[in-house]
Formats: sequence, structure tokens, C-alpha cells
Amino acid sequence: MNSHVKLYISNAILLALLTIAEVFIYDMEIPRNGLVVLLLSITVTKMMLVAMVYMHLKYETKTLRRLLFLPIPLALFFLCGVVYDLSFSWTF
Amino acid sequence: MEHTITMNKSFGDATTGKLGMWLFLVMDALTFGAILLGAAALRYASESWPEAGTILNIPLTAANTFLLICTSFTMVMSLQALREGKEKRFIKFLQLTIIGGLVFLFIQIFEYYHFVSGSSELGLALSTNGLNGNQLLPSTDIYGAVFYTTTTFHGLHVLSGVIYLSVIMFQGMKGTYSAANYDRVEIAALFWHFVDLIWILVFTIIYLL
Repeated sequence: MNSHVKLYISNAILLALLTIAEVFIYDMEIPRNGLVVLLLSITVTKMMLVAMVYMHLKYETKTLRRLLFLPIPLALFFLCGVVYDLSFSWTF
Repeated sequence: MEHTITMNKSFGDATTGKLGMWLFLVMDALTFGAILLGAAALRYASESWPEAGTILNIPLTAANTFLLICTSFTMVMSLQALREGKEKRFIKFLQLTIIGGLVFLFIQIFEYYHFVSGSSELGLALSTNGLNGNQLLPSTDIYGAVFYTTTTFHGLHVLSGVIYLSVIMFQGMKGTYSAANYDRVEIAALFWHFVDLIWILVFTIIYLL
């Protein structure tokens, strides 16, 4: 078995374990904010594992990786904008 | 026809086709981002929102998530087999990926059927969460609209992926691809992994939170 196949198998096992962990965590008595942070952290980890290993992003050049990650701060900026806007009650 | 046109050194050996797919995926990710951001905003603005696990079936969907992760694994194994020149193995893993995608869709349709046909148990779960009726429909409050919009948009991606991979499989059976010509398979694989990656986010935001 070559090193690539070993990596793919271990990644699949890790993803499965993280999914099981998510299902256990959502039912636990954890304060809401802590639960959101914990579940989103696991989700981002899983997404990175899929992108880096299965989509072979770790083998791509730094330029391509940077270009692909560029929209993320933009999306976070919009998220902050939406959250800020929600506190207002707009009437026309 | 081989796709061997490469860009400048900044992108390594990535072909134009591969860069095109990455560009498409970034745009698609922003579309999903907008939908999920909208869902989060609607939820925040809503007076009440059903508790996780009271209406949606978490164990079934977790199993479905696991299945989609398995198809990502079979897809990458399929590509690896092709790179090593093992064409039969490539087709076998590709078939497993397609079957996995179809089972995922079947489970999603089963879930929809359960919600649309309705039941007294579902009605009880809905009323506990301040929602009316015995069915969960797109018109059942903002919650139903958010659930169906997000999962259907993703489901259509899975369906597109299944069709896309089926075309690749039939071409592969005719001997179109080899260890020296796998670019189009790699591009299709990128799309499939993206569908898995987005589901990971949808599962957390729509089902678990």
C-alpha cells in the first residue's frame, strides 16, 4: 500500500470519528455559545481535511491556495455586516 | 483529447481545466455561503426556532453524512487507481462513488417523503416547537423554507455530480482515460469532493445547530 492510499484511509477514519463526535456533542449539556464554537470548529476541521487531502490542495502551489482562501475573509466581513444589521428594525 | 495546457509557474502543473473548476467551486461556495448566511440571519431574527434533533432525524442524516464521506474516499481511490494505470480498479471505485451518491439521494427523498406525508408524531414535534400542522413543508414557517432551500440546493448538486461521474465512467469504460490522461477525471473528482465538503457545513448548520 503506497503512502497516498494510507493517507486517504487515515483521513476517512478521522472524518468518520469527527462526525461521530459531532453527533455526541450536539446532545450534550453545553452552553449555547460554547456548542456553536465547538461544532463549527469541528466542521471547519473536517472541511479542511477534505480540501487539503481529498482535493489535493496540499499539493498545489501557494499562489493557488491563497487565491482560493481569499474569499473567506470577504464572507466573514459580510457575516459581520449581516449580524450588525440584524439589530436594526428597518421601516420604510 | 488530452488537456495538457498548463498555466504559468505560479499554478504549478495545474491545467486550465482544473483552474476553471476551482474558479467555479469558489463561486459555488459563495452561493452556498449566501444561502447559509441568509438562513443564519432568518434564524437570528426569528422569535422561536426548533431545537436540534426534535424534528430532523439526526442519526439518519449522520449516517448519510458518513456515506458521503465514504464516497469522497472511493472517488480519491478511483483517481489514484487511474494514476497507477489500474483501469478496472478505477471503474470499480467510480461505480461505488456513484452508487453512494444515489443512496444519499434516496435517503434524502425518504426524509422528504416522511415530512411531506406527515404523521401525528411529526405534528406533535412541530407543535412542541411552536409550528402548526402535521407536515413539514417549504411553507411551514421560515424553518421549513430554510430547510428545503438548503438541502434541495445541495441535493441538486449531488444529482449533478452523479450524472457527471456517470458520464466519466462510461467514457472510462470505453478506454478514454489512462495513467497519462486523467485530467478530466481529476476535475470531476474536485466537484464531487466539493459536494461532500459543503454537506459537512450544511449538516452542522441546518441539522445540529
